[in-house]
Amino acid sequence: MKAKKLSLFMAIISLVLIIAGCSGGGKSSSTTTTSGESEGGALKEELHYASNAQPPSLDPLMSNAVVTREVASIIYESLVAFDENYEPVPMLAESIEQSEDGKTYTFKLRQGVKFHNGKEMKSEDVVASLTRWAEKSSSARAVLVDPVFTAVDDYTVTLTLGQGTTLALGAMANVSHLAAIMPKEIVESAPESGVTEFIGTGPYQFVEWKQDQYLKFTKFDDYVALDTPASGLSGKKEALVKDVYYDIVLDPSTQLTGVQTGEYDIAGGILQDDLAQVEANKDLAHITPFSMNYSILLNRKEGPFTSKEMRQAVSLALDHDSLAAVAAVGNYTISPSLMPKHVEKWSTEAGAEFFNQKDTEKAKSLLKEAGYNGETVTILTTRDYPVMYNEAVAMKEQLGAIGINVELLVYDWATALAEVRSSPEDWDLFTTSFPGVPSPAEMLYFAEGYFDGAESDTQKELLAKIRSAATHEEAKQYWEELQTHSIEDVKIITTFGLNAIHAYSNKVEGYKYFDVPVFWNVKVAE
Amino acid sequence: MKTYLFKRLLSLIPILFVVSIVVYSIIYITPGDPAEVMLGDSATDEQVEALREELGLNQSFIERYFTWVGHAVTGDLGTSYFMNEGVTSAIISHLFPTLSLAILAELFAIIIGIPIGIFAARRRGSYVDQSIMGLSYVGVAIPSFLLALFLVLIFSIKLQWLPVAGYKDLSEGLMVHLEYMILPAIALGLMHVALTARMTRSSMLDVLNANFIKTARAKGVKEAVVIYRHTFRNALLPIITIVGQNFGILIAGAAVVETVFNIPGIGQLVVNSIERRDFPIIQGVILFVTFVYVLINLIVDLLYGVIDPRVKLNK
Repeated sequence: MKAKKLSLFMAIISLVLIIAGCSGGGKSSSTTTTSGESEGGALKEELHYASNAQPPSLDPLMSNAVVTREVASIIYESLVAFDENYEPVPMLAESIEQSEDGKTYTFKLRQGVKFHNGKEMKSEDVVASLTRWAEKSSSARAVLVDPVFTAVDDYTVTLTLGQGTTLALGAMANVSHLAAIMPKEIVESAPESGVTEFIGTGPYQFVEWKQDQYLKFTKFDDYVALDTPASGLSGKKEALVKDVYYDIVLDPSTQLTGVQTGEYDIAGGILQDDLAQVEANKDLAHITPFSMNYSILLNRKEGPFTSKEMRQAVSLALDHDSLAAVAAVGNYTISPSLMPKHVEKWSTEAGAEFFNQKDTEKAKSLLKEAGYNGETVTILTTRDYPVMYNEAVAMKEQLGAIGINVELLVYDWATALAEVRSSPEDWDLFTTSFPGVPSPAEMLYFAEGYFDGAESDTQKELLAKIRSAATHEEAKQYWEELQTHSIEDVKIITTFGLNAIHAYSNKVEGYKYFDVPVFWNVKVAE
Repeated sequence: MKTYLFKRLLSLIPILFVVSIVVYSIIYITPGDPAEVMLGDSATDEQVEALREELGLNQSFIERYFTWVGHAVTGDLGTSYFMNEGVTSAIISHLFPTLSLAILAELFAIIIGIPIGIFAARRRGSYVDQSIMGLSYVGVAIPSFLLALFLVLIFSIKLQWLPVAGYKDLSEGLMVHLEYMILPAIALGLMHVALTARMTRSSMLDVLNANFIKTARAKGVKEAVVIYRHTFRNALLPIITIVGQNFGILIAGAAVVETVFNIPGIGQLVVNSIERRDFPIIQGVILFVTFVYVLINLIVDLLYGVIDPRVKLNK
């Protein structure tokens, strides 16, 4: 009798499992299309991209988080955008004129460009958007002196500067703190915490943000594309997939399994350790775009690293190759260039003689010279980013070898960020990372008042010269000097450049990554 | 009965009050600043300051706490810093996935755990009993995240029966909903299957040794009636207690499973909110979970009276 009942229970359970299993049927149903608009071409109407973070804000000026720039560049466009050589070319602007002295820029706007709310973009919207941008964006603050945007007529906007520069258009094309053009009303009613409506001019419009689940974007039917070839983030943009889902999938192993089973079409957060598994899977393709320069920030406000000898000792002791091998597995570049290597316009080997020297003997003698007495040196790091944590552990080992007494201070990222800013007495070295920027002047750690402390006079002088140089060639010369100075003076230690791993299904065609994942001109086969 | 209920509900107030103070204090001394998390490392001190002012982070502890309590008693738990949404509505929108997960896990625990427990009790000391109890130790010891990964490996990657992760609402159909929930529910529920089975077994054994069972057997009552009518009914109290407690634990403990399977429940909400220092959400969720926990205990106590008339509640 009881055996009968028990088997009945077991039968029910098995039934539930089987039914659930069958209706799962091979591929997951979440990516299956429902309507048949493009049935003939056998294309999917949905694209699922798995992201390992949720944006803190959809207002591109509120955060420099990588995720924010990724979602912002789906919705918004700027007057200029980078082509694949990192040259700023017109996007919402029809044409751009620059005065001889580099102090005045005149933008003719494209006519008939519509916002996602149906309103036509006019110069008042551009002026409102760019005025707010100039105030909030770190790029704008770094390169523009007293910027003023003025509407000349409905389709003409001028930018006047207190000091001429060749860097203005690059800053306006930067995807970090994107100079997004939004309707004037939305800009003007924005509270301190950012705009509350997300209306841009891009090929996809914002539909829905399910917190911690996904962001949904849909094709903007009134989008008028340029007819120049697509290049970088510029040129012709076509929404070939109807809906783009930006799925928030924090767990990296879920991302990997999800892209293997077809739950996601593209996974942007594959762990370095899992690269081999991606390569071995014949249904998957992958790209490894440059993601971040992993760097060590030294506290020059207080503590041992106010001394140049101490900073140099650390720099001399570090073996970047083994740091990268431990932290980034096989997918990195090691170069003295502070600008990522693919930004060829600025990348340079200047200062290589002070970089990655692994000279422990010299390091030890510098420590002696600096009067180092075994005081504890604290490396502030986080487990939230495993690459940083692994790097810190390897660094502890290497610095220990020359006799520096190292202690790790491990916090979650939010706490680490707060510590760096408000408690300079608690940390000496900080593991962090920096994405690429359009010009060296926009590098965060060169900004005045950045948390690592005092900037040297040489740095200030050279930065000013880069900003005001009349030509790019001239600016690059000063940059080479500044890079050499930064490495020699150990302003920052760039340990290695990490390449991210984006794995995607073979059915995805045309996917590329250019500072952000590019979802236009991408097809997904059934 | 009514007085009892009233007293119990009244005693909720000091509990929630104490919890709110503790949670508020912990959050207050936690380093990390929502304004800094939102703005990132490129913001100037002025920008951070302006946002702190807007979020009300510059007020003193006392001021902040009492403003919050003042609103909370009227049912307004505040507004999230990060989401364009009130705390109450965020909790409501994240509640269903967790509830569904906990209910499925609980059902799993009851449907499997209780029969196994009875089965083992009937064969006390046999190899079957020993192996069931041995296995139940394993069930208790396996961490849910490990089990989750194991289940995904078999059912999602190898067999491709069930999705790896994600969530579909019940509104999209029961089967689709279950398809996404079944693995997480098993991962979450297995430990409770083991606990329920052990509790059922020991509780059954206690009753099986009682005199009235011996009498019943001596009178020649059918074995099935002895087991299900006499023994099981009398053994139910401790089982109900553990099932009730399980449910509270399941709701509070869903965070890990929700993270692995990417289910947007309140567990995941609170984990993410801690990372981004979204204080109003953290406070709201913890207060809410406390409330649910206490409420479930109350329901369990009330059920005692229903099942066993000897238990009097109106004292």
